[in-house]
Amino acid sequence: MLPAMERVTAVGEPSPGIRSGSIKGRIGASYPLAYADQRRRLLAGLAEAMAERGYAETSVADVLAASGLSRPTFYNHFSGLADCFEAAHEDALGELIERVAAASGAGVALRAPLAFVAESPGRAALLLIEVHVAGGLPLRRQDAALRALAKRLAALEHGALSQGSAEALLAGLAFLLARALRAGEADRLPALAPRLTELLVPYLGSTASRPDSRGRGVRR
Amino acid sequence: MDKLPRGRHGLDPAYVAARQRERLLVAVAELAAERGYPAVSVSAVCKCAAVSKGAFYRQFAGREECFALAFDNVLAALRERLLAACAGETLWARAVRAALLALLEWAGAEPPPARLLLVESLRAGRPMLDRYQAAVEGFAPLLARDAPREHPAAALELTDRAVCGGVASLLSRHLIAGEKDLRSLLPLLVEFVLTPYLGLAEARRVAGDGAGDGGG
Repeated sequence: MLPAMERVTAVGEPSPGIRSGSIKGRIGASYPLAYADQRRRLLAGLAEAMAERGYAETSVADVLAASGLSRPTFYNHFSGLADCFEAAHEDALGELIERVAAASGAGVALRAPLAFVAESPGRAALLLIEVHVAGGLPLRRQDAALRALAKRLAALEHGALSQGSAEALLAGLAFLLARALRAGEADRLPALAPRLTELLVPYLGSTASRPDSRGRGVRR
Repeated sequence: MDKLPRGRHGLDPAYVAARQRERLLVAVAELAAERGYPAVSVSAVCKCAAVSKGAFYRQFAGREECFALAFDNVLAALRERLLAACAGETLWARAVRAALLALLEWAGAEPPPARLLLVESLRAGRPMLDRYQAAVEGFAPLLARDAPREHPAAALELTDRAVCGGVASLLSRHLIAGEKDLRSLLPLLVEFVLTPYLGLAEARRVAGDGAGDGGG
């Protein structure tokens, strides 16, 4: 589920504040890279721990166990679990937004979140499930991203769709994704793309949605 | 929700238990709406309901079970309410509209049960989340009943579920924002729900058709 991670080559833990540049000598040039690597591992560890037990049941100790790092290292990076969640959530949200933005056309853009959830179910769960438990800044951040995306959808096809409907449509898609995650069917999501595209057609028009023509009129 | 007499009162124990249970279920909803499910303790629920901890644990295994049963009660009541609201409508689109209006009126008039159902159930652990998702999907067959199926999107089973999920999520976001006037969401929700079945233009026509609703 998690991306392969190389072991940190540095000896010991870096002190706070070392983020770039290189420290030559005993430890070598790999040392500054360790900080970014640690952070990456902590974020991945949080996603892994929460995928297993959910936000409410996850402790810093679980993140440490999943990431293989020490408590002082954790607190070098984050003030606590909520802080670490906020960073992991922002990281996952950023990647999803980037993937959607890189796609052209709503029909193609639809495949981006499906692929993201299928490839990184643990990180996707931070957006689809755990953010509702956390609330606060991550939820507001995600709502703002959803509204921005809805605005882009509503601007398609000469603005036929209202902003509110576009938001509800995205929320409906998110519901299906969350359901698939809980049902352990995340890997089957990419195959749903043609049917989900068909759902977009009445809202966005066929040009913007680029419908797949297979199996029309048959209830599946 | 009157308190029962203290001490020896000669009331039927089954009656006492039923009243205590009722009060506990209301209390858990009120507290979850007020401070969020994660911050609700069994002690607080007992205090709010004026019921002893011993009596609480004779009724429920714990906080989760109490919350889950309150959720089921709220869900059943809402379902009945929506069915009643659209019972008089012969046209499918009008029935959907009537049900959505009833949903918004309910959520606006009874914030604690609405928050319990649509906001706090997502924060109350994995089993509760599954219950929430199943509950939302439980409205899909009601929506699908008599729905026109000519449009390709309307022929998809996932459309019904996505539409129900979208309505629940949208309402949840407005509840979190603390908005009072939820009825103003009606045209938007009608447009969103009807579009896959009727097309955007027709959905918008029904959404804008407020005449004959008796002001709603």
